[in-house]
Amino acid sequence: MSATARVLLVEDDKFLRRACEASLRQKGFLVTTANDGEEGLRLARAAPYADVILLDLLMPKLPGIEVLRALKSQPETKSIPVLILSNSSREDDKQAAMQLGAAGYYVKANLSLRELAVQVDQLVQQHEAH
Amino acid sequence: MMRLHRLYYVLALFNAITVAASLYLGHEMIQIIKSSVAIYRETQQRLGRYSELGRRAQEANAVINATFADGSIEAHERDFDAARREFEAALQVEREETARLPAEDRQMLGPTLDEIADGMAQMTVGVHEVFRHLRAHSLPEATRAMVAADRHYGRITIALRRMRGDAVDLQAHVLDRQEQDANDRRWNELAIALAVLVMVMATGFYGQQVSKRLRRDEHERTEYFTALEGVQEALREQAGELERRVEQRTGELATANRQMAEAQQLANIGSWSWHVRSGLVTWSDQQYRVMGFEPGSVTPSYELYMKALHPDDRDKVQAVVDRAMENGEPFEVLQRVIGPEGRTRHVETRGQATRRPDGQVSGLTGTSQDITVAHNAERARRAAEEQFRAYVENTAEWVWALDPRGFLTYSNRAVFDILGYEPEELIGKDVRPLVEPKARAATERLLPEVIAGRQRWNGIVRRFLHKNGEWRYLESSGMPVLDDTGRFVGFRGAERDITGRKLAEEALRRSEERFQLAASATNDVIWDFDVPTGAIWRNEGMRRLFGHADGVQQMEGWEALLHPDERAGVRARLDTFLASDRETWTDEYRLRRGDGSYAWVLDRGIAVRADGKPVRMIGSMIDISDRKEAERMKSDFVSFVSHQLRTPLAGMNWMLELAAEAEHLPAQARDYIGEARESAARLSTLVNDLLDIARLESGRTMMAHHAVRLDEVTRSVLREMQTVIDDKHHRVTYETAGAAPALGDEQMLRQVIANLLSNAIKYTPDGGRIDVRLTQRKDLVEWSVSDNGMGIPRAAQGRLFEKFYRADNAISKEAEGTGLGLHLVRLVVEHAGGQIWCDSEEGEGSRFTFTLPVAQQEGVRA
Repeated sequence: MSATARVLLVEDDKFLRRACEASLRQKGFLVTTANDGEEGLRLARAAPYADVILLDLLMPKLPGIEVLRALKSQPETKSIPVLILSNSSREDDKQAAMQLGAAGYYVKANLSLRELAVQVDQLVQQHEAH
Repeated sequence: MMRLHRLYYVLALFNAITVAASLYLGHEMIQIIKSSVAIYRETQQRLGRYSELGRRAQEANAVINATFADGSIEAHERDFDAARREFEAALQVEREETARLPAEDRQMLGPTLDEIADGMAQMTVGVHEVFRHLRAHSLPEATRAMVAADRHYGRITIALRRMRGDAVDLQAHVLDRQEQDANDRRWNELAIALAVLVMVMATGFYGQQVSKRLRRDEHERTEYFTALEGVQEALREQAGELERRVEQRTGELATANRQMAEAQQLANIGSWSWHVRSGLVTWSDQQYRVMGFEPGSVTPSYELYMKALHPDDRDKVQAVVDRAMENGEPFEVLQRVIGPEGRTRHVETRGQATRRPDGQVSGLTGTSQDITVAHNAERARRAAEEQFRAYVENTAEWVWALDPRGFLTYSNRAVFDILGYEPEELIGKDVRPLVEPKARAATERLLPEVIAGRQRWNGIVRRFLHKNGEWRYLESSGMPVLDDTGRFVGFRGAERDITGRKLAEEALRRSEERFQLAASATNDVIWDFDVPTGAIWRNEGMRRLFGHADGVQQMEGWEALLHPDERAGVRARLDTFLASDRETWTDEYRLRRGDGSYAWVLDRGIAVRADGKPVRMIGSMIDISDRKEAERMKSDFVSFVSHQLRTPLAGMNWMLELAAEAEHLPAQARDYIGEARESAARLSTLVNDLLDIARLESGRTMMAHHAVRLDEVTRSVLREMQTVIDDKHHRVTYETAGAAPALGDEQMLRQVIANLLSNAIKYTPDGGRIDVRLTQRKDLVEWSVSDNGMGIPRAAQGRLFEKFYRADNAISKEAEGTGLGLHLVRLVVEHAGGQIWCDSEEGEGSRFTFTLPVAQQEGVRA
């Protein structure tokens, strides 16, 4: 596990944000959080760039899918792997996200923090390999 | 001509002589030239010889000089003698030559030779003197002798010189002689030249005469041939004219013959004649054919004729012939003739007697006609008549004939079956009262028209009174009958009993009426699908409910109205239903309204089959858009709520997860946290299930249809559940004989299997036995799990797969269960095209079985 791995968490729910952040910090990641899509996009574009972005879909101001689209169309953020953490298990939503280039799609209610950490770690290592 | 001929000979002779003379002259001239040349040569030779002589003499003379020089006498003496001898030899030669000359010429030369000889002799003497003196060494003597010898030598030389001159003179003399000769011939030359000139002129003259004569002959010949041609031309014309006339006559004759033969052939009549005493029989070409032979292929005779007759007819014919011969009366006889190919012909022979001048009958002559065709036709006609009669008598239709009054003149037997009367009861009677008065009046009105127009009628239906008082419906067809003069003599026709049909029609009409009324009364669309033709009829509900035209439409039209997403599925299910032997069909789908919007339709139908094949389907469509809308809204609501529920759920899960990992956690807190997590997990499952159900029920889900290996899934799930199984000390067996992959969504099917297994584990007391089986039956995969647990009350078994249902015994049993599981399980299985059912005995155990179609192809979507 890379000690210097940066994770950007974009999630509007307070509890989820706090729990996720705490868990990831415990496991040694550097975590930055954003409360909504706009803030998330702003933070993503700013250096130092995150190694992994965890992105919620249902958010006020700017929906997650738009954030994803923006991230993938900008050169500085294009290559950062994005994990979608949603609560929709609708196939349409999943397809849309995967087509835009998301690295993964998980339903939060069915995902344990431990599993999440494992996924993030894998992505970080893949990303570093480039 | 003769003159020319003679002239020719004369001319030829003259020419020959002239030519000969010329040749001779020529020859002579050549001779002269040759002799001149000879003379010249001779002279040269002579001169040469004289030179030779001179040389010899000189040699001889030289010897003497030499002797004086070196003094060797013997040698020189020898030399001198040799020289002298040579000289003598040469001289002798000369003498001989000279002797050859003519005397006159000889005279010129001869003496000189003598002189030379003499000179030499003298010289010789002298020379010998020299030698003598030399020997005697008396040089002066010798010298004197030499001088004397020299003198003689000089004489020789001079004589030679003179001879030379003489020779030349001689030559000149001879040449003169030649010239004279030639000159003498000059006149000959002239004469010959003249003769040649004459020859040429005469020949020319002759040639001219000949050609003149030839031209004249040519002219005469030309005139002659012209005249000849004229005559030939005239002859040809005459010949041509003659030919034409002959051809014409022949043509007319041939035509006449041909027409006769054609006539005979057309009528199939041949002509024959028979001269009895000679036995000569002649047949026309057609007679041969009538008898069955090719014209000219046999020799006709009475015997041949008799032999060709049918054995049974021979006596008859013989008798007729005998009688005719006796009385000479014309006769006719009908007989059968058997042709060589074996075919029998019917032949009618007519004939009469031929008489001699004295009135005796000498023979017979007449015609024979092949009437086989007519004969056979007559037979066929009679047979047809018989057949027809039989048909009319036995047909089920009532065939009748009426006279102008309307009285029955003929009736077949059918009238008994149709109206209960025997034909005899009605014939001769007026049958019009049997007809219903209303119809009768109508008929009577039309009659005059029918008669006048000689029209047939068809399909007129009237009611007749049966003998037993019942009415019968009869369908009539007929026509007025006219005699040869066109006079109306009655009617003829047939009646068909259509009572049965009529009643059936009536019943059908009433039924149709009822149906129409019922169809109008209902709010549904009623449809009638003719399977073979693909035509679908709909009542006006189609218009009222969906805004489409009612009436008949083709199957493809209905398909086109289906929503694209459902079209293939609905069609497939319908085809499966038609191919099966099921009776009822039902389906739900979206149908496009006339205004373009879609309505949800519940479509139900019943199939009518003949020999197992569907021929007709009748059904109704109900617009369930409202219900569907309500369902959708409910689904959406459930979906929405579920998603919303998930967020706090996730929050709870994660927080609890973090808490569980906290350090220095009191044991009790750890327990509580653990149980809280379990509770949360159950809540999660509930929410997931709700969402799945909502999805499946909304009909909007696209469940993946892939090939799922149930074997692997089962093993995997069993592995996962191993802990729980062990906790409860169950014995689980899993057997599979191998099965093809099933068609379905792997994730969902995994849930199904997990659910069923979980139930089995849950509802079986510890130490129980659970058997899982996976097999394949034809094109279905069958999976079952049996346990020896609580079992399910019979009453509950029917409702087992309903939403939220938990059997009483289950609820009382403290086991967790939301009641959602089996409902979802059923939805998933049925969505994948399978079936699920349960066999159970309360207190003994249960077995849950589901089937799924085998995956035929990859990636087939529902």
